[in-house]
Amino acid sequence: MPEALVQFDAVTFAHAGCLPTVCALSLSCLSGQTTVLVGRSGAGKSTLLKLVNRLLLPTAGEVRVQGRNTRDWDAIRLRRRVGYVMQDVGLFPHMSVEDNVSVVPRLEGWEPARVAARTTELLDLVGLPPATYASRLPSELSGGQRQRVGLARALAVDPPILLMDEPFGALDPITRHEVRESFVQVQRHLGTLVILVTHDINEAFRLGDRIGVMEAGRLIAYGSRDEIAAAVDPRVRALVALHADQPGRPA
Amino acid sequence: MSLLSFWLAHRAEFATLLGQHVLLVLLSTAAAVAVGVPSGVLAARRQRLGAVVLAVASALQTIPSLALLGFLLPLPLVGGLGPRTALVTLAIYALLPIVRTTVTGIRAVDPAVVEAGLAMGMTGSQLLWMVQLPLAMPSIIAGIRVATVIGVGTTTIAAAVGAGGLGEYIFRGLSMVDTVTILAGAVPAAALALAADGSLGWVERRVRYARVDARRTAKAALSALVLAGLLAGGAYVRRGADVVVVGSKNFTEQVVLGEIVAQAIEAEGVRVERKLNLGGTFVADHGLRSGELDVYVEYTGTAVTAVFHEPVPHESAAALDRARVRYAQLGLTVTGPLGFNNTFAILVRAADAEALHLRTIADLSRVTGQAVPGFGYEFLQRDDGFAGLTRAYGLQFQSAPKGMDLSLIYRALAEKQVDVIAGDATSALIDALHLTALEDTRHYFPPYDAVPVVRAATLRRRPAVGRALARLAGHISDARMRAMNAAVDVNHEAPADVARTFLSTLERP
Repeated sequence: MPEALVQFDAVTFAHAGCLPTVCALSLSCLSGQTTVLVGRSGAGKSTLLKLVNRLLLPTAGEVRVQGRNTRDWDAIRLRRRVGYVMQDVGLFPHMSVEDNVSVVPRLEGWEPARVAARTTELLDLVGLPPATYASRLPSELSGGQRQRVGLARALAVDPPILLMDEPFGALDPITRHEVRESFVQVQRHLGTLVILVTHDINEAFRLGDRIGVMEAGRLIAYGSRDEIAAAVDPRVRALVALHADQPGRPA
Repeated sequence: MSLLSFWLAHRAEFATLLGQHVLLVLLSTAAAVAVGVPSGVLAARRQRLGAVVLAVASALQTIPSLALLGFLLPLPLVGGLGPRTALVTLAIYALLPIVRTTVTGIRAVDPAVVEAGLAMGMTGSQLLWMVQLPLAMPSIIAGIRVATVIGVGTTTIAAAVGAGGLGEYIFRGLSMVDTVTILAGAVPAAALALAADGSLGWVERRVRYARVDARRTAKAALSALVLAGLLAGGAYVRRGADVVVVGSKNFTEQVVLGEIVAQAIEAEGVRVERKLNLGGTFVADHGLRSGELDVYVEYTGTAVTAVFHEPVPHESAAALDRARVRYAQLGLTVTGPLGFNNTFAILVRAADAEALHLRTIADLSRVTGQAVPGFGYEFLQRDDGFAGLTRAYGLQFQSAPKGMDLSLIYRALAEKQVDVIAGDATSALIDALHLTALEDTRHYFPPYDAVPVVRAATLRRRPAVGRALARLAGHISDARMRAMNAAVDVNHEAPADVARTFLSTLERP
């Protein structure tokens, strides 16, 4: 059995004085797999991601990365091993594409030549020819191009773990399809553990090796596509029914 | 005299004052940046601390600038005559806009961008230098721009504490009632403000669109600061141990007397530094006691009341004695009186005096119903001023006295904004503006004989100073002083030239 790279063990998270956004949740994510968390807004999906790279610490229970409690990790070291692609991209608006992509390698103190080579490689990987795009500012890119830069930036130091928060949410359907397909290519190529959050059940079926359905801070279903498709819980069934209405569902 | 010919005639002095003005603005703004940006960063990161920092900066901003100078003057380390007090005052004023825009700039950074930085594994300081400061830079520069433009204007008050700058011309012009001299300081100050606004606006726009390396910018700013500091050191620290510092208050007669004393000492072969146009008795007296001045000319009546807060004897010799004794206790020596008595003169327009048959101060009791009195701030405050005057003559003015700057008061009377003023008996403007002095029949005003007051230590160290002052004793009569005041105020001669002409009439040393 493959090693559990990220493990949630009865994790509860609540902001001070508020109801918990994540409630007694347990989950194991395996190396090389893509886990998709699906659910409506406010279900606690983004919170779950931030618990992995220690942007948040659990109120109860523990999150383990590579077998080690996130509380015991040095936050900076942990975050440099975990790629993070955000909902609203969060590119640094005052840095060129090249500088955005090479932030983490530079923080890690790589040689300039190695940084440059890696940047070129990454931009090619996400389909943005460096000669055209390297020196542009984020404001000079389209939404889809920005999202690709965000992906390249997250992959810069080959992190064993990649967190993606609604990475394709803000794109128009055609661009979304394109960026998603190039992501699938990249992911197959790298074999990274991916935890991806979406509210789109089709995306979950398209991308997820494992799918978790979240509602009100709880994981109400977790399993392979077939297991989710065959679930009996009426809330999960309602969600799957949405997928059944869509063309192009996987056989 | 036109503005251009004024600058031409005073070009060396003008260049010095302009240079001092620019340096004062640069250094004070730089100091405010050095303190304000880090405070702003701290304040932006911690809500509660931020509120405190902003409240303090705002509170400091509300203190009137002259009052702030007054507070700082007697303090050790930050105070004293000269650029230090001025720099601290100006830096305090520059602080608020810089702190506020730093806080605003940093808080305005998109939280998604900050979260991205944290998620990339940036430490707090990496986040600050790589993300927050570069993105806040246009806002910070905008704050520096506001602070600099305000600073150029505020720096004109530096002259009040002997720190130089273009304010010298403005104060001098006000005391001489000479528009050209005022403009000679005010016009370049306005031009400087516009230039600062334009050039920093350009920087602000560039920074907005350029990729800024905050660390490199900070280093460049720091080196510029050090360079400016060295320049300032060069500009101000020329004073050697062998220099005698001559002061004066900020009205024409005082400036002329300061020049006379300075040139008389120079004639003995001693180097002199001038700190003329100091902002009042308080400032000059403080300078003398602290050793920042070696000598200035005071008036016996003013010394006894305003400095030592004692009643003044009505007899000249007794008043002089009193002043001599009290100054001696402070290690200060009063040398021989110069020969004139610049007592207060209660003045009305000559036309009114004739129409209403006003001859003595007592006659004013007939017009207290309509006449509006106007006095200098010192006169309203002093024991021997307005309160005592109304008591001595039983005057009850219907309208409260208007307080105004001494330099404006004669003109205010001539232009009928007020009807009765207290001026200097030796002022040239009495004749020039067709005013009449009312006789003090009850001898309310004590004697104000002009006497040089000098540090005893300076006299011991430099006997030549004593010789120079002795040479002046008894040689300036009331008429002569009034003539010299007229030469400056009416004929617009330079005080230095008037002093030179006077000294040439004395026997050679």
